[in-house]
Parts: sequence; structure tokens; C-alpha cells
Amino acid sequence: MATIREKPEESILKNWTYTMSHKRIRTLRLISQVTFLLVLNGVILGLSRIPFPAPVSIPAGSPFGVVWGGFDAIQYILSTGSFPFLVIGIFFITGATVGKFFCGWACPVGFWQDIVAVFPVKRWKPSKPVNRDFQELSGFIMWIAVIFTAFVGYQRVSEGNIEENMWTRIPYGVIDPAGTIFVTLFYAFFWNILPGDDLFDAVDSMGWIFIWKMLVLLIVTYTSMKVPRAYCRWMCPTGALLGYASKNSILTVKRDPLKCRDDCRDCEDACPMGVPISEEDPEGIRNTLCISCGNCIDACPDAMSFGFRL
Amino acid sequence: MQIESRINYITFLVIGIIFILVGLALDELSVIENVNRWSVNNLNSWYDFLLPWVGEEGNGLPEPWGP
Repeated sequence: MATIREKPEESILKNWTYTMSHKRIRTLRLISQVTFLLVLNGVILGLSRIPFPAPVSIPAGSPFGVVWGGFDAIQYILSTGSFPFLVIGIFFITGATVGKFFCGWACPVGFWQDIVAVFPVKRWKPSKPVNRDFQELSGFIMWIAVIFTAFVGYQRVSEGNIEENMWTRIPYGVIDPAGTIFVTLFYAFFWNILPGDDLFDAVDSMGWIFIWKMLVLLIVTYTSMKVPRAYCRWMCPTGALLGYASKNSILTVKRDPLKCRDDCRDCEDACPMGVPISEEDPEGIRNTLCISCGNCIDACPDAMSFGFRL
Repeated sequence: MQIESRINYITFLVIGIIFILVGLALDELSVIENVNRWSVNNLNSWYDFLLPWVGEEGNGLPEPWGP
């Protein structure tokens, strides 16, 4: 029988402290997310850059980025007229072994959304069909970017050099909220390198792209406050690509149906991705939304557990 | 169902390993490495690379990181 634990209704700080002390996996995940945030932006700590594409959302133009985000690498390599065998191979192996584990435990954009989800705003809980339908959007964005960069690559090979603009190398970077956080805002404000000292000068210097990127970031942030991990669910092309190989990943989350109470939906309520866990195979979740975050295990440690699908 | 899962992830593992080996044979990482070299030696290329994030305004763009 699953245990029921009452959560006290206190201030945000007390609730957070309670959560951290009672939710072991969430605490471990927080430590992991902070560590990865620092390591992925490790140039600021004196780490060297390594030319390696990682299956997380870290923009290639990041001033402190140690590695390249895998999807940026795919676009860039395609735009040169080559096929990104190595990067896709990394995505396949990651997806087949640990699924979308890195989305939950390492991705800086996922961490950003986890942070903004702490704010006490009225949540919107999309229905399962809506969640599933919106999920198609991320795959659509991914394929648009892939087909476009492949076309650019074809033109580059067949016609020689083409005129460079912001769409010809990494087109998704123009709307990528990770790029706005880690590249645009750094260059605009943190380093204070663009002309002028204030927001208006930065806007003036970067023009419409700055306004556009900030607008996308604000929409993503606000939506993620209303719906946990909204960007991961519905927009992220990196997650969409990982999803192809993660359906039957070796690492998975299992459920013991014998320990489930009737009408109990604690695991589903805790899931930030809206996975209908009670409708999933108890031997391992196959839903490509699952990021193996472990929130369901924290919510019901008796019935839920990590496991291997060997 | 278990067998289906195994076939699925083993397929992705095998294809993934083959792709990685092909990518290494084609020296695919050099494409990424070249961008790092630009950032040190060829500012024009580096500014072109930054276009998706900072726009087409060339005036006052930042100095890149070190090697």
C-alpha cells in the first residue's frame, strides 16, 4: 500500500525546505543540475573547450560553453554540406541507454524551467490529448530546422560559398531560449560589450533580433510557470530527437501495480511532463515525454522505482 | 513486449555505434573544432557564427574567448 504523506501548507521557503528534505531524488537532481550548469559553462571556471556535441540544450555560441549542444552541432554540420553521423550516433546511443535522463538531470534549460516553476502562480493542467498533440510541435520544429540546414548545405556544396546571415548556420539559434540566456544576454549585459550601458542601447544595437529573442524567452518562461517543463514537452528539438531512441531505453521507470491504490494519481500529479503513468506499461514507461526525473518515485516510493529494461 | 524493447534499443545501439565510427572516420569533429579556431584567429568568421544569437549588427561585437 502506498504511503500518504501530508505536505504542510507553509511559506514558499518552508515548502521548499520540506521538499528538499523529504524528496531525496529531487535533492539529488538539484545537485546534479547545478553541477552540470557549472560544468557545461565551465570556461568561466577555467575549463577548456572540447569539440564534442552533448545531448543537452547548450548553445554553440555560448561564451562559457565547454561543449556544443547536440542539435546545434547537427544544424551546423548539415549546413556545411556534410551529414552529422557522429552527432546522431551520440543521440541514438544516449536515447537507447538512458533515454531522456539528461533532460531531467543535466539540461540547463530544464533547470531554468524547474526554477521558474517554483513561483506560486495558478497552474494550467493540459488534458492528456492536448499534451500529446502539442508534443508533435517539437518534432515539427526539429524537422524544419534539419531540412532547412540540409538545403543550405546542398546549396553551399553545389554553388560554393553562399552569403551568410543568421539563418544559414544554426537557424534554431534565432529562437532558442538557451541561446538567449547563455549567449545574447551575456553579450548584451553581463560583459557590457555592446555599445552603450543600458537596455535601450543594447536593443538599439541588436535591433529586432533582441526584441524577438526576449519575447520568445518571456513566453517560454511564463508558459513554464503555468505548465511545468512546457518547453521540454512541446518545443525542444533536442528532446524530440532523443525521443526517437528513448521509447525503449534500457534505463526506465517502473511501476508495481500491486502497490497502487485505486484512483491514486500521486505519480501522475508529480510528473512535470504530464506522462499518463497509470496507463503506461508497468515494466517500463515507453512515453517519449518521460525524462526519468524521478519525481514520481519521490511521490510514491513504494510503487515507483528506477529500473533496467534488459 | 520485452523482446520488442530489446530489439528496439539494440537496433539504436548498433546504428549509433556505426554512425559514431563513421563520424570519427570522416573527422566530423574537426568542423566544430574549426569554429573554436576561428574564434581565436578569424574574427570575421566568428562574428558570422554568432549571427543567430546577436544579430547582424557588426558594430561592437565581443572579443571571443581564448583557445
